[in-house]
Amino acid sequence: MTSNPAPIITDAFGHPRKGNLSRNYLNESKGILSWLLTLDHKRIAILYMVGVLTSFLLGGIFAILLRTELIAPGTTLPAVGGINTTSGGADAVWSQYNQMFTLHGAVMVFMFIIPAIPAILGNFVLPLHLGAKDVAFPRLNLMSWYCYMIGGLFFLWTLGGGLFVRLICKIFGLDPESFGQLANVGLDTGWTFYTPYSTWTSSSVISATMGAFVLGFSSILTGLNFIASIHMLRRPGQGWTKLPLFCWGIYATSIIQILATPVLAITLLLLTAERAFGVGIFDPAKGGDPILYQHFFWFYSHPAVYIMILPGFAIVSELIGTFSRKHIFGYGFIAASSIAIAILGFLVWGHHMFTSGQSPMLSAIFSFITFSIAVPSGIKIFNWLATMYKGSIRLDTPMLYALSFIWLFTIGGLTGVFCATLSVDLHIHDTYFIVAHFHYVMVGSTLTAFLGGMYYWWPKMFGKMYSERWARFGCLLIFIGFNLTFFIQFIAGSQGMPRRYADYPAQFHIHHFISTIGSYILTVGLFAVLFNWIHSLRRGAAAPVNPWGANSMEWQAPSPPPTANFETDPIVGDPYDYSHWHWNEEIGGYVLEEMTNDEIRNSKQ
Amino acid sequence: MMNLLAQTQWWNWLPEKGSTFTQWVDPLFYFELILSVVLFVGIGGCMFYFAWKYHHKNREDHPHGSHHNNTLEIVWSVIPLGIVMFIFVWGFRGMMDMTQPQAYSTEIVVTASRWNWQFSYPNGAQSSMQDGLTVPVNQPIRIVLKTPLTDVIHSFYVPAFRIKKDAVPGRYNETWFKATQTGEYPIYCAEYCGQQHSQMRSKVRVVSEDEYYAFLADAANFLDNDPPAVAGQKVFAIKGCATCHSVEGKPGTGPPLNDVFASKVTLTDGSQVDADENYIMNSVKNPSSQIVAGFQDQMTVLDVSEKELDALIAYLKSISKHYVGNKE
Ligand code: HEC
Ligand SMILES: [Cu+2]
Ligand SMILES: [Cu+2]
Repeated sequence: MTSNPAPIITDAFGHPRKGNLSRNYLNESKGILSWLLTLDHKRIAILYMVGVLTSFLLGGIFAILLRTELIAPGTTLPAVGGINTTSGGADAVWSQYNQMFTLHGAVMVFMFIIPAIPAILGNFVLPLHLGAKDVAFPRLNLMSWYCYMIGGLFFLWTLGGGLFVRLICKIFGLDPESFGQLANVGLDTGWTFYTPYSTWTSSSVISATMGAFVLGFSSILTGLNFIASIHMLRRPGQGWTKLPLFCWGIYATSIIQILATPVLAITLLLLTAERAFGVGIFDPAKGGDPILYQHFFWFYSHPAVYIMILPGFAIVSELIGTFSRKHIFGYGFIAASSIAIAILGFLVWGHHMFTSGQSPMLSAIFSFITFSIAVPSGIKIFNWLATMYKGSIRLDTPMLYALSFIWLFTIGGLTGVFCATLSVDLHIHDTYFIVAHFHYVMVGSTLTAFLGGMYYWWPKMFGKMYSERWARFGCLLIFIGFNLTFFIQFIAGSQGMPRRYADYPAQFHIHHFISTIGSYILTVGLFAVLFNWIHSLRRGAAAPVNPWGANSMEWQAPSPPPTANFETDPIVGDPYDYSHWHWNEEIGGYVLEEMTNDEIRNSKQ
Repeated sequence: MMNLLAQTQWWNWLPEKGSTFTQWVDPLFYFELILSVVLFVGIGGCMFYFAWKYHHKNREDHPHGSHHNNTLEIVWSVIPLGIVMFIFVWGFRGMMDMTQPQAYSTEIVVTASRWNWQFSYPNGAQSSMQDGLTVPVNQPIRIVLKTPLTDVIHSFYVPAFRIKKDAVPGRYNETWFKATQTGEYPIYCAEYCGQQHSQMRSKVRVVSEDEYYAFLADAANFLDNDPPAVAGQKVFAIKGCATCHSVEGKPGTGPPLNDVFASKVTLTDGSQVDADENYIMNSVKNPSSQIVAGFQDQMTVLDVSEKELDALIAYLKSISKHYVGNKE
């Protein structure tokens, strides 16, 4: 839409705005300190955005390296070497592969998917959705970002430092041994830290767990802040049923964040105690039980997959409503299903352990509850479709992402049924079938929802529109690349290809080959998005107050909002009643019809 | 690329059928697959159809459809619930059969250790990862899985049999199967166990009963019948020493073991020791006590009997140029 003439800057009612138009939260104050010490939820969201996207880039680079290693059987990448390798042969390549997949998984989980939606979009949008000036505890909010950065930098160094040193040595022909311990910094346990491997390995488990521990606090503080904000900061007249579904999704996520993350923190501390002081908790050689570790770990990490997906649902509910321009269908059921998923999610962790030797009784109970989660997940999809039915659907970029989400999540969800089935899981557990399943859910769905949300709120965040054509092109490439990369992995997995293999039997060559090509296309798509964003920041046309005609309160604030968010008190209404917004060609956005006080009062009911 | 595509049936979902468990897993898997395709086409179809059919005519439109219908919500909750409960029961019955070994099974102990599978048969015979696990066709086989206490978790996976079970240090796990067709099927380690996880592959050889008994008789008692150094070489392979120790002078996870016996070994603390019988015994039984310089304390304490140790020592002597004591 760059070709359109720059819209006139107006308020929500279409009146030219008075006052200092160029002043907003982005340029309110200048200098690096004004950012590093900011308490503004919007600026903290931007700070998070920089950190989280950088982590995504790093995790992504390693994903591409992994896929390249797997493009053919045998070894592909040159041997840079890894922990405990003394020769430059195949075992060096295997070790470096193990470190790379650990880094990819751990960074993507702890530093990208978990914080992406809550910490960036949640931080930016949630207070606006409540018509509030900020979150309940702005200082804790800033502290959570520092936890993220400090924990994250520490974590990254621990996971990747050794590989980095070895790479430098390789390039300049130095001997890694001359760097002593530095070359052996690194982690090769997988993101799951399973004992007794993690007790036994000589890699840097303690510092990695410390990094994850601090990162966990960032997540806890964010969740705490959102729960308090939703309880305390709603506008007068904004009852629980006037909350946008985004808030409900974030609320459910926050419950999990504050209840489950401490368990991970304790588990990691116990692991540290075991390694550092030889306390036998998990290591059978010291009298511990390795399966106990798996119970503890998944007690956090299964709910954590809902930390990753619930915010995705939250965004998609907003997008489907807005771009169908029809009241969201089954509001109460969508909201309640998020809470139901959050609660049930705590009771299914044992489905990761069907082959571990746990009692069949236990497996059966876990399988049963896992299946029951299909119901609330299905409810969401059906309600979204019912919303689209007889709507007035606009296929702008955010909506394309929402549709792509429905596609990918349907595949991810349905294949989850295979994994939950006791007999079938004995076959597909720990194979590429699982890898494909969770990538469909965590990457396909969550990443897609995140990008859709970014495009949706981008005009509000930066006050700029973007090139619609390039944005759609990026979305299409990501969709094609993603399906090409991961669909074939279902087939490889059901044929028996085990996961976390640095090398594989020739029988699986074709599957890995296709998958690797797909991952390259996916990468090009993601860079198209990045360039689209950069282009928008530099050249984008000024965004109107409400480009989409949505009725949640953020669309009454200027784009981008001033530090205090709203210039006049926002009008609270049903967030899915779009009837008061009218398209105005001249400003390229929607304007709110003037209402008398009576009408406003009525619309509140 | 083209010859890759021309390869075996890469588009097939499940692998060849090798055991009775395929009667549980395969029909249910394909049932779920068909169900998924139907639902997916339904959901995706609705989505595309709606996006096309209700594409906006005018940005002003805000259609006032109903946005609440309890009957519908109940219908699309209860029907999926019914379907998944049906699948649950089917899967549960399969799992009960697949995890409870039958009476009168042939019992084989499978020991997983970094990065080796060792198979021990009822008559005391053993076979190595290279030679694979040999079992008779059409007989229930109970697999007892174990892992040395100082090792890590592995998982015994035979895709053709549709079974998988973790081998966990500090406990015995069991599983079973009945192979239905002679042939060779791959065994994979399915639980990440470190550097050579991807190399921890072996095979099941399903043979006729006669062949099985011939194999057992042949493989048993080699410690008594073979000369010590030859028996030692077999022990070295069966116990998986070779996955960490080369005998061609290349360092791996552990030091190469040719030319070690009767040499002087430098330890991490800088001291030097003579690699005599005691040193080898100590290296095998209590590896953490003396760490070779340049290596980590990573050797698993494997279950090695006195006889096996004698044979191993004889073997290590036979491949050391420093050892000159033994006249043939
Ligand atoms: C998981 C890998 C691993 C396996 C399996 C393994 N070792 Fe080792 N071994 C090591 C490592 C690492 C060292 C060096 C550290 C040490 O001395 O403990 C070592 C050291 C040794 C040494 C001392 C070598 C020297 O140069 O002085 C001997 C002898 C030895 N192992 C024998 C065996 C035998 C016999 C087996 C099979 C029963 C075996 N190892 C299985 C990893 C392994
Ligand atoms: Cu789970
Ligand atoms: Cu393994």
